Amino acid sequence: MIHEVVVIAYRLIVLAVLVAVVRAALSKENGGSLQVMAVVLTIPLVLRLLMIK
Amino acid sequence: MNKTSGQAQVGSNANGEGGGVRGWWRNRFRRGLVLLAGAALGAAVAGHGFVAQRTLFAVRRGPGVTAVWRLSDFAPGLRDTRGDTEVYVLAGAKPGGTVLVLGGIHANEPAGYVAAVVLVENAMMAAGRLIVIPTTNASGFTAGDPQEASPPAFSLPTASGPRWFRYGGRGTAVTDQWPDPDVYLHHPSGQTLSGSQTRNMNRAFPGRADGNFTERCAWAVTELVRREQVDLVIDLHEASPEYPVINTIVAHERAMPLAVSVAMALELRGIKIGLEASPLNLRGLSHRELGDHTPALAVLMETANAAEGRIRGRTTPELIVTGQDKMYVRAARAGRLFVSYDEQGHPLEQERVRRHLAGVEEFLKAWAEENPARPVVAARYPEQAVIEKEGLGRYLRRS
Repeated sequence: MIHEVVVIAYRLIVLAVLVAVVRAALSKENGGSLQVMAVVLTIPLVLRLLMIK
Repeated sequence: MNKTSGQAQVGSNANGEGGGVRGWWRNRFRRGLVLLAGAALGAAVAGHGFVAQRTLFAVRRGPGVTAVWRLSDFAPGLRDTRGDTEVYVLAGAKPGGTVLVLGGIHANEPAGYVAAVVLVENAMMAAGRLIVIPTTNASGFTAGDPQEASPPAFSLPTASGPRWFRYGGRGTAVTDQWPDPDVYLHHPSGQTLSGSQTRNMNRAFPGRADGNFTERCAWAVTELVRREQVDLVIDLHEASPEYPVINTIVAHERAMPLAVSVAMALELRGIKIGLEASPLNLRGLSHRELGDHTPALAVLMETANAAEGRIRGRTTPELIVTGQDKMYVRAARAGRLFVSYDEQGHPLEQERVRRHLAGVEEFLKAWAEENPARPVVAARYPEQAVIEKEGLGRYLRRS
């Protein structure tokens, strides 16, 4: 039971970070290098959110 | 921002962006969308590779297999999890004792699970039962260890084509048990180990029915040993060549007389083998806990696998199969290893699997000699001379 709760909490944290990163990728305030950095970060976050890796 | 009518051509916009493709790309929102689409594609490709690793290699029912169970039959909590796996039973026509062979408790130690597969697909029993679990830690095969750069699979040549096997990690996968604690507290001894050891199945015995995922996997094996009245457990492993316990049998104190007989028999066959007593103060290992918590005799055998060593060079499928690594040759010349190591390496087929199969064969013989009321006798068994000369091709078929 505790394992399932921890996993849900973890996925919520990952989701929050993913939303922030996607916002950064789409922001008109950020330059190209920041956008690329944000986009690269989305790959492991998506895999983590889906608990694939 | 100006919009175009289906053309990449755009005019100047409110942000001062120019026209044409360059102007279209300078729009940071659109650029972000395109980059995110690329990232989604990258995630899909990477994710597909990781998910594909969850499909384990097939094990064929050999002519000696009389029943196939599931590990979850002994621990229902494992059903529909990646810890469940097949248990092969090879029963002889005559009654006798029961020997359990465990492969793949560490999924990065292929000699153990390849030997177990060869047994399932080729051995036949005349008396007693041989129970074989090739992928005991099934979860471990679904992911490699972080920062090891290990290949996810390797193949062995057979007459009908390559036979593929997974190469996994040492522990259960983090997707099945997470997070690791700072300190691992072994049940029931209370021994403390590094937190990452909480996913090491060979530190989790005897396990517990309501424990974490790894403990439940270990508990299923312990329950199998108890319910099926297993007489002898042989746990097949490998270790890095710089580890002192290599080409060795590790035996629980009750199994030591039997292990001594086997070590002598192997030496007489020209197979150098060491013999170690199961440490009393290192808990959670199969030979220690199954020996303490069940009536079975418990032993473990180790061979040398350069692919999991600390000083290896590039980690490739060839390294797994050939065991050839120039860094280990240098280490041996410098006197830093506990086993000999030359350019021939320690090949998986001709040496490491053959060694495990010889060990199991001698344990069966020694058990039958010392326990005539509960014999476990093979009617057909993979031949050492054939494996030494040809490898495993005669005993395996393509995937």
